[in-house]
Amino acid sequence: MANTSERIRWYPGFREIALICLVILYAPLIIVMIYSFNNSPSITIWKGFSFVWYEEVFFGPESAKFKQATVNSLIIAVLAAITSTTIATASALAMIRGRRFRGQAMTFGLINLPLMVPEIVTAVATLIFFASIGFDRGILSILLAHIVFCIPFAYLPIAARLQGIANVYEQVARDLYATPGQAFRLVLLPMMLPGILSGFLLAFIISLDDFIITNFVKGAGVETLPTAIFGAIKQGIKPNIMAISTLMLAASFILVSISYFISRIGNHDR
Amino acid sequence: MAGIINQTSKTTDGAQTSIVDGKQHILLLPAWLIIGVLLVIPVILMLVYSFLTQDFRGGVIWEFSLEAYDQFFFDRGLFGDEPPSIEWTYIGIFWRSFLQALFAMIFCFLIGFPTAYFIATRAPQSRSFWLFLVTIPYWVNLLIRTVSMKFLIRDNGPINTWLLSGGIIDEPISMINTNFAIQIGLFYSYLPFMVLPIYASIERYNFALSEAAADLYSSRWVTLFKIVIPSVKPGIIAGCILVFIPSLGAFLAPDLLGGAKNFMIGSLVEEQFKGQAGDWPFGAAVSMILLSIIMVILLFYARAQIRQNDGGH
Amino acid sequence: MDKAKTANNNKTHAIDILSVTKIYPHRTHPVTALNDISFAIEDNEFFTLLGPSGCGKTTLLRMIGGFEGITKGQIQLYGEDISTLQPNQRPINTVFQQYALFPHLTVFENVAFGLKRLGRDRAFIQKQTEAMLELIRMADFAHRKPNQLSGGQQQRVALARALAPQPKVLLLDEPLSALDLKLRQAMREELKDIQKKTGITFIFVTHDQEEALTMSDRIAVMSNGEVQQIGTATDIYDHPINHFVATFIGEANILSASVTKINKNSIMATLAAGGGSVEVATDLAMTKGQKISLMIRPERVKIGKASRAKSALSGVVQSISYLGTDTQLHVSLNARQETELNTGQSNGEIIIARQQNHGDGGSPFHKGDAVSVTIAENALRILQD
Repeated sequence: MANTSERIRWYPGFREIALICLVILYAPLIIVMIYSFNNSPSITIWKGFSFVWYEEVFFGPESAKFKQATVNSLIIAVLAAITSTTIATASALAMIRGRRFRGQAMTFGLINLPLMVPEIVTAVATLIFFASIGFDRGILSILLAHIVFCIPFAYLPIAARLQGIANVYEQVARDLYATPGQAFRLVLLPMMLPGILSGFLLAFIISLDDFIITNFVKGAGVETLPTAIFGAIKQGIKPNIMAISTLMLAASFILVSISYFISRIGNHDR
Repeated sequence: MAGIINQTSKTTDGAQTSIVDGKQHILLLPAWLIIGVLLVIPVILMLVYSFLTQDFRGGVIWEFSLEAYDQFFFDRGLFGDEPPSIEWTYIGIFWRSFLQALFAMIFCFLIGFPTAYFIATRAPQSRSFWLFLVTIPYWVNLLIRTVSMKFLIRDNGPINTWLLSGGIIDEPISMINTNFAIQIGLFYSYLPFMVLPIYASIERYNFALSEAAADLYSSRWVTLFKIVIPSVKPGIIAGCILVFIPSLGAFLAPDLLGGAKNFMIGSLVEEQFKGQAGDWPFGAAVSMILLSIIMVILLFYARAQIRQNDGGH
Repeated sequence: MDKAKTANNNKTHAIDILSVTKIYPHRTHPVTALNDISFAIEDNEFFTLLGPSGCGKTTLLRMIGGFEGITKGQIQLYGEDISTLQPNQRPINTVFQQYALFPHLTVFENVAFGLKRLGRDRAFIQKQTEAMLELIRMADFAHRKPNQLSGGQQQRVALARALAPQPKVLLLDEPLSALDLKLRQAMREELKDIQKKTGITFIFVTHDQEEALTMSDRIAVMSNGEVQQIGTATDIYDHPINHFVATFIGEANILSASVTKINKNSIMATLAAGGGSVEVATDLAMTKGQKISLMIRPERVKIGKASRAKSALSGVVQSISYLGTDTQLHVSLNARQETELNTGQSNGEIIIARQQNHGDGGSPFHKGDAVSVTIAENALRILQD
């Protein structure tokens, strides 16, 4: 029986295509990782394993520039993630727990607008906006721009989580003498926490990754990690770039894994 | 008694009580403000800028002008002495971008659909592992992924080196700085965008339908095209849009892989603001045209979805 | 003036529902969920709201709990208007259908939740929570998380959580519907027992008539947003006032008849199908010739060998179903030529009869047998619609 339904679902070649898909997705990343340990100034000929390029990243002539860029990136990502997660949580509560209101569909569209407008257009519009009001371009302008496009990324997992929590829980809390604030703080918030954490992590990664918008709204001399890497690449791919890339890969991998396991734990306790 | 009753009805009637009652607008205010001020107003401002006069030091002079659109569409200028003719340079860039995005979408579908289908038919444990594997690259920095691809396909990159040393080719295959390289880059950048929504649809697909079709004498492939694909169409359309739209306005893949002569819309826009040309109204106009095209596509998508929801239930 | 008087009279009632109406507003199709309902629930009563889904029973319960607004009317708790109070301001607790135990809190923390919100001191919270866990025999599970409990255990914790703050009224929204049959039957006893022990007024919502009949002091049968009848289990089963109540609770034969004679506390009537004159006790005002509906429970219909006795009805067995404790027979009543009422009724009505089985091989009758049908004395009831 199970065999028959297995056979009906099965298509020849699909497994192979899926494997090819994985190879395509991972091959360039893995090769870059491997070559980042290459003990050679030439980046194509393998001369044995070494940490020389990692030393270059941390202690080489360009290390100060990359360190500053990393600090900028982290500050911006943390602040953008905190702000956008807070805004997204408030919005999700109003959209999903509140009664229907006029303009609800429009609000939903507005929250998701940053996903629909192409990045390059957002970049242009934001640059024009800051330029026309004479806003000083630097960390703050980057942060503001990041908050905008982080909101929908934080909103999606939070809203999904909230939708999965029956509103009977708040009713029970209210029934047991909790004020609306207590019902939120003591019951709904702890139950939403996995969604909020994964929203926060996604917003953090998205902010850390952004290049196009940052490139437009950053002021002269202010760099984030991606813009610094981009600038360096323009002078040719050097092995230290591959070392940085590998480090960023590892960071993304760890953050996504955490987010993934949080959401799985969250789903289990329901 | 009637008075009391009326008072009661005013305060408590309506839907069920909720913990956010009366606070909805306060809760939504930050989102409205941030996105309104930092995205909606800037887009409107961009529209305004596209009708202003270029200032050669970058920026604009606040004087109405159709120059930007004129430059985009017409050769000798709509307001010149000679009869205008269509300017093909920019329309050509749009057309080429459109084709690149279209092909990226098709290739992503051809690889993405079988992959999504394969993942969705795994046992739950290995399914979430596969999904995890496909999701990881989605969150890896796009710049780094593009750089990795550039590294891989360079003339003296690993692929060419291996092929040369293996004696398969005599001189490096020139892949970088071609339309092919851009295509590879777009495909590689947005493949996860195709897999994930299709997977979500197939996961909800009721495989009893496939069994019913098989029971009614339909072959494997007839079942795929007549039953499975129509059932998961919303996921396919979502995946196609998620690949097509960012491909159309992509900057990194054409810039890093396409080189100077294979311009796409993204590079054209970037050049107006970051490059030497510095024509802000023209850059705003190009962005506006791109945004309009995408909004039209999304509008059709939204309409199709509404139709489906009305018909479906 | 009028209101003060009402309030005084109601002092002993736990809950007073006063002309309560609930309309769900809608642009084109507003829905009336409750239509001008009034009744009272006594102190220390196990009161059940019984009806099919969509009858408004849950809406009414949620209005008492404060989770739904009231369109018109008033709800009083021991004589005081609570209509405008928020759920957390009402000394009323609810056991929800889905239990909804807080997944991030332990069993103990769940039960203590209400007491903490009320700001009780810690010693009291500890003592009261332990007492509640003792009451539901869950003391050993105090530090488990809800997802480590079975359905029945979760159900009992939900009950303890709602009882812990010692509410004046406890609302139960189909709390047993998610349990399997055996557990459900055991929980009925336990619930009834706990109600007796605590002395708290229980308002219980169910669509299960057996649950309602076995547990309740009084039952309100509801349909279409209206209360059809309020009474004890025997009132409702033995003296249903209308068609809906008669058919919703248990099985019923409804026979049309017309009044032929009016006595002091009874009437004589002739059955439309099968003829035959019957006497029915009633204190309703009737007129001669009036068409009425009569109800009789299947177990009060006796089937016997065909006889020539004039008083008995006769018929033909159409089908026989063996039900374990009983056997159920469907008998089509014969038309009687000599009665003036039978015109146009010649195919006869079906009457259902139930006979208890005695372990001797089921019913002595077979399909197609001609039988006599006897209606037990005092078993017919007049339905008001």
